[in-house]
Amino acid sequence: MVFSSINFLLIFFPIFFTCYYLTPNKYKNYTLLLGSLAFYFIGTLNAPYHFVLLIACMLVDFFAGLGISRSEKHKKLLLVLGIIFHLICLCTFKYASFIIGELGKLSDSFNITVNIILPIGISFYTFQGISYLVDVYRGDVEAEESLLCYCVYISMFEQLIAGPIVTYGQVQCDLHKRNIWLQDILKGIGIFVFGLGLKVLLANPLGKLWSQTLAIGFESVSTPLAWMGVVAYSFQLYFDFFGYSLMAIGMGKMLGFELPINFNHPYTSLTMTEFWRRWHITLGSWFREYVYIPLGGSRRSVPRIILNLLIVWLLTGIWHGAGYNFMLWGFMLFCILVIEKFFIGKYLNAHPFIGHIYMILLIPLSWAVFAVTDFSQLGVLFTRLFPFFGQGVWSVFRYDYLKYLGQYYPFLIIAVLFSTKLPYKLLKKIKSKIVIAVLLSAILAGSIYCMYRGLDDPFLYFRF
Amino acid sequence: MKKSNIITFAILFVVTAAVLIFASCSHNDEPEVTPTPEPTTTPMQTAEPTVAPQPTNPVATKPVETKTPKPSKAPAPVSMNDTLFIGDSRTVGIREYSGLKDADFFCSVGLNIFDATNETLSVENVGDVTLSSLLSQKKYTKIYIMLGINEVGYPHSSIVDKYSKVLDMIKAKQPDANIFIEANLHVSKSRSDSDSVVNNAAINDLNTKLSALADGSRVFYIDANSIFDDESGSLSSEKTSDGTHLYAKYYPTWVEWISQESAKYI
Repeated sequence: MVFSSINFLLIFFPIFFTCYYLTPNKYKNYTLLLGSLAFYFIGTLNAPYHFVLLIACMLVDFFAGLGISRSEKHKKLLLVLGIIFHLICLCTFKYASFIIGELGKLSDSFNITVNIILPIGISFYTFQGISYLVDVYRGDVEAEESLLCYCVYISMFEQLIAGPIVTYGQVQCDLHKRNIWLQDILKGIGIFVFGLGLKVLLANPLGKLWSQTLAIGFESVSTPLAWMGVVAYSFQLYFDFFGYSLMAIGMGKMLGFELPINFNHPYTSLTMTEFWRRWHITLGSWFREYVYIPLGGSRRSVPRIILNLLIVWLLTGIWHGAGYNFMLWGFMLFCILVIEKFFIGKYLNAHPFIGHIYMILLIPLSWAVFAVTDFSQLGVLFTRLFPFFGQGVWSVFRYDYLKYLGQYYPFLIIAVLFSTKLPYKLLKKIKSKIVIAVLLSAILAGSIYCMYRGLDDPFLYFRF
Repeated sequence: MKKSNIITFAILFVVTAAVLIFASCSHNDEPEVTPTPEPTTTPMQTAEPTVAPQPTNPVATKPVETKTPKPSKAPAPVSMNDTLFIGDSRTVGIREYSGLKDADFFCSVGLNIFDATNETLSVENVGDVTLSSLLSQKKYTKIYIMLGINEVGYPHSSIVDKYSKVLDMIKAKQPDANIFIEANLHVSKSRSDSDSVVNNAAINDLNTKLSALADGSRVFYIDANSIFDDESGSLSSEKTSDGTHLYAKYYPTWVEWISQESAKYI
């Protein structure tokens, strides 16, 4: 169930939260667990075995965690087995189809079609499981003795399918005991509605501009429209995921949890390095904590640092999807980050104007590589973005960019605005509860109307 | 073991068992096709979904023998001067990407046969007009109509009925024009298989009924699906990104086909 769907908003949400608030505090975790399992079950109706996989992962983590904390002798073995289990699950469900498909192209003995549906949320909950086991092993958290608390940690629906990637330490206290004040509930609702608005009222319409660019076919768009398309995609991706993360954080607050933020105005960055500290923050933290630092991080020789970065960024690339374009994307980011680290980063930070221009070009271009899975199509797109050979700037439809600009300019303007810090600063300044309530009601009403009209789109990050 | 752990285990066990039982039950059931009451909207097709139609169960009909005469030799393609195209987003695509300069276009994304006579649309070098007013102002020798995909979920008999009335209006206002009913293009197989309203069975049924409106002397029926379909009779997935609209690069091909095909009849 997508958060921005009528079913979730008008059926699951009210029923669940009513039950949750009516449940006495000491049993709230049971309600949350049952609600989350119901949520996941509905989401995996077409593939019920994915549900069983989730249960299995939670049980493996729970027992492995206990084993790691209690047995000095088998600590490391249990950690390794636990991590391997998660990686096997992830690789099987996420990469097997791709790998077998590619091997099939090389040799007839692999020429079988493997259609494995990706279990929803697997990229998030396996990462959370691995982080838990490593943290227990390192002694950063105590192994959880309550199966209930552990299962709630992994399965709580607001973060199960699309993050933020929560580490155990961030919610351990709240899992055991939490007070839910009315103020938090109201704040949570506000954040949730705001996130919903970003997704339905901003991300979804802009996504249509990108889909229309795709539907026309890259070879037939003018250069201005090509740029508009990739910019629209960049905005869609941001507000989709940012909005979704806010909905998760808002609902977390309503449940009594403080979930970590996932986005911090990434499009205001001056360098790609800064960007990846502001974009999908919990993923970056995960890779830093559990891959980069164990590899030695920045405390090694320069060649080793570069190798560490390469590993992290290739893995980051393929975490986002099984495809060569994701590897290329990860590799591209690696190159940019190394160049910034050793050459141009300081300059960009010292000259914000240049830094902004640099990022305004680099962000849509890097997302273009991310978005287009077919290399020849990507090539065509780049010849349209940089029309220095062959076709030239314009398309058969001479004023295509004007047509779409006319349709989408309000969304583009608002998207640019909401990519800056300005509207958030202004919104925070509003003290009057009535004004806030009116604004949020308008956003909610508008969003529900759009959703009802069938204008909601699948959340982009669900293929993870 | 802690009490809460026992309870949690029990919950997990019961829920898992229920899921597995559910899974094996649903494998044993026949898959049901439940018609959805609302048409699914795609971004480019409809500007606003209107009334929720009752989806028809299209009866698999053999293509009706059209009354159009079979051509003997391949004549020269007709010119597109004095031509009017009436249609929905696919006709908008012809206007934007075919390179055709001489023809007029009365089309918009989401246009359907029920609205075609009420809508005021912008026609280049003419202005904002209704269809009736446009037909009063200009003379055409050829008029092409492709409408149907946006209303394919409505009862086909009422679509054909309205279509017939629109044809009568056109014939009355343009006595010298040849009118070509264009078959609605198919959607891709993946779209057709997953959409209970906009699918190729429904499109084929509607097309077949529309073809019966052709009289072979002034009203003809042409079907461009032959150049865009794959072996399964669906829009080839290589020719579309969204399963419903051709890539822009195919529109010149389409117009070329239209002018060659038309020459066989006029």
